[in-house]
Amino acid sequence: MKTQVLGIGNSILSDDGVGIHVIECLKAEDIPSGVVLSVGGTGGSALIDMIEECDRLIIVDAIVTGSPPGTIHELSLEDILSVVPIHLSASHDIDFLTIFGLGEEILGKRLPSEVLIIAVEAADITNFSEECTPHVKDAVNKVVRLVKSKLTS
Amino acid sequence: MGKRITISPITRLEGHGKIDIILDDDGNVKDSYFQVVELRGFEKFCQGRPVEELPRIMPKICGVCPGAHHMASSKAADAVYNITIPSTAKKLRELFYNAHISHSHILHFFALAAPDFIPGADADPAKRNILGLVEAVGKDIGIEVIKHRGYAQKIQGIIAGHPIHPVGSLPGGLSKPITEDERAEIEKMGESMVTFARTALKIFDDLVLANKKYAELITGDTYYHETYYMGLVDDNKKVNFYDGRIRVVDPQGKEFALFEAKDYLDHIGEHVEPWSYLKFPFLNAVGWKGLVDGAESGVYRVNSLARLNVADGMATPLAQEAYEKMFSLFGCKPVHNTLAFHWARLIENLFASEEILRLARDPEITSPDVRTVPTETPNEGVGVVEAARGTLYHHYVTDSNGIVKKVNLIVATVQNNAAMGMSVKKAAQKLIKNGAADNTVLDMVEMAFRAYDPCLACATHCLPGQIPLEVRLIKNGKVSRRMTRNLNSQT
Repeated sequence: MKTQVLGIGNSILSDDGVGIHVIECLKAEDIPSGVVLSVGGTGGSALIDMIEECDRLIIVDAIVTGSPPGTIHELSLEDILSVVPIHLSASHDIDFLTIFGLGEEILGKRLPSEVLIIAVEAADITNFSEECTPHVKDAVNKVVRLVKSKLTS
Repeated sequence: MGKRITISPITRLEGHGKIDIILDDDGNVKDSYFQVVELRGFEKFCQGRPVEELPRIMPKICGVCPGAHHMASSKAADAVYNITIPSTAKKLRELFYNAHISHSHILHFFALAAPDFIPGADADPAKRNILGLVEAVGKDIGIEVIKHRGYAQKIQGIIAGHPIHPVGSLPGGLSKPITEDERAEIEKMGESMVTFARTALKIFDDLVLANKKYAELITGDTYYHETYYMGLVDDNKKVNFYDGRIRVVDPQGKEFALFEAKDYLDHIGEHVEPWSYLKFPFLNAVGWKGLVDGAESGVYRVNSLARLNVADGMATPLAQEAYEKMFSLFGCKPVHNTLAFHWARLIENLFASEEILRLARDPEITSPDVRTVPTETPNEGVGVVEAARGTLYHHYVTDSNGIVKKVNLIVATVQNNAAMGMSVKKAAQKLIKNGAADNTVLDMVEMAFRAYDPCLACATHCLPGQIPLEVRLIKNGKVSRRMTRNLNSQT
């Protein structure tokens, strides 16, 4: 089974970049073969190009729901109808759900049958910094372990 | 105390924005405020870094127009080192940049603007997006949109090393040339993009202009302001996205100013309002008179229609034909009708596509001579490009080692800030009567600023989560009516 782990966000905007930081950490880990680690951008239609043909897609992104900073949310495609991580919504572009809604016929590629979204509750997405805030920084290692457990399950 | 209608956050718009519409006691629009939140600390983030890092950092300000910041930053860094880049480097940057413009314009029209017309503002909100558009015009068009958006992104990736985070441009030129195979691939994509750009204009003709209701909306008074316009022009005073001088025309279309990027501060002032994080740039020579239009007000507009208004024409034949058709329909120049920004965007997409093809066929484009190594002592420089959304200025000051001391950016959306506020107010005044504001009316108010393709990410950042539309009617400090909706629910 081919799996892609796609981290999205802005690596210079504090907690917004948590998805990117997770991918960078995963690159230093022992990852099963058949797993593709990708650093995506800030979402939108770029995801059309970033998503590879695979069976399972794991997206890591930041989210703001009001939970304590660093809280890790595991979401399905259905879940994001009501709660959308930051870069899976796109007010200027085609958002993630719309991309899936366009379907394989229009996209011209096979979409993954299983999609899991791991979203980390952000505390600060408005100050420029290459570092996350403390609680989100602590969550990075937890997300790395969580993704690894998914990859071996 | 009158009512207040709040539209927050703004749908289909990058950044977190809010519109407050203040009603008087009779329920008619008294005033409106277009507000956004702000990202903080970017200038400090840049200070102390080598200036050559900025062309790689600046694209991360914004997930929507990284290509524009990559180019403006590279040009400012060139200027800091007082470098003239090799001819091939300039052509490759232009090739990259026209692909960036095409990508942005295709997305804006088909994902954001077109759903206002097809299926239209009175359609089910769940259908008022690209899915509803595809349902209305057919899957074949949807396939073409996605394909050509992809081509435009791919060309950027070939030249600048990454389709989303461009890194290839640096002070003095580019880090690498392109191969013959890459050139041939770009040429093939460019041919297809020209055909698609003509199709997009035909769709606009058939489904928007041929519809009496929409034609009246575009040419009517609801979305109309007589202002100054600003944009880059080449030596022949034709539209150019990458380089040239900045030309300003007055509301009658007469040339008001023509200047080099380095002199921008002589021409542009910035007014501050206590209720807005965004500043309000205006023409110094006219002065700030408030959120009003006319020749006595220093408010100017940028973006697609502004570029066509300031130029004497387009530098490519098919785009020139489309340009003449638009001005002929309106029967005047400049065109002051705000919804014509959409039309102008499609004309520019054709121009960008023709430019991609022309540059891909340039015999010099695969030359390995793509960089002049900086040798002069760095100090200060200004870079300007036409971002998809309008004129974009980057201004850097460094020490003699090239370490950044000061950064000043004037982004396109900020320059349209005053005009957007005026357009929203006027549309609201025309459409909201006696406090009546249903979702269709509010969508039509939103259309006023959507025409400017505003991107608030340079001054603000992405919205958290699904983007709802919240409307509150407040009278005497109490919420008398509340409406919310987003793509998936309506209450």
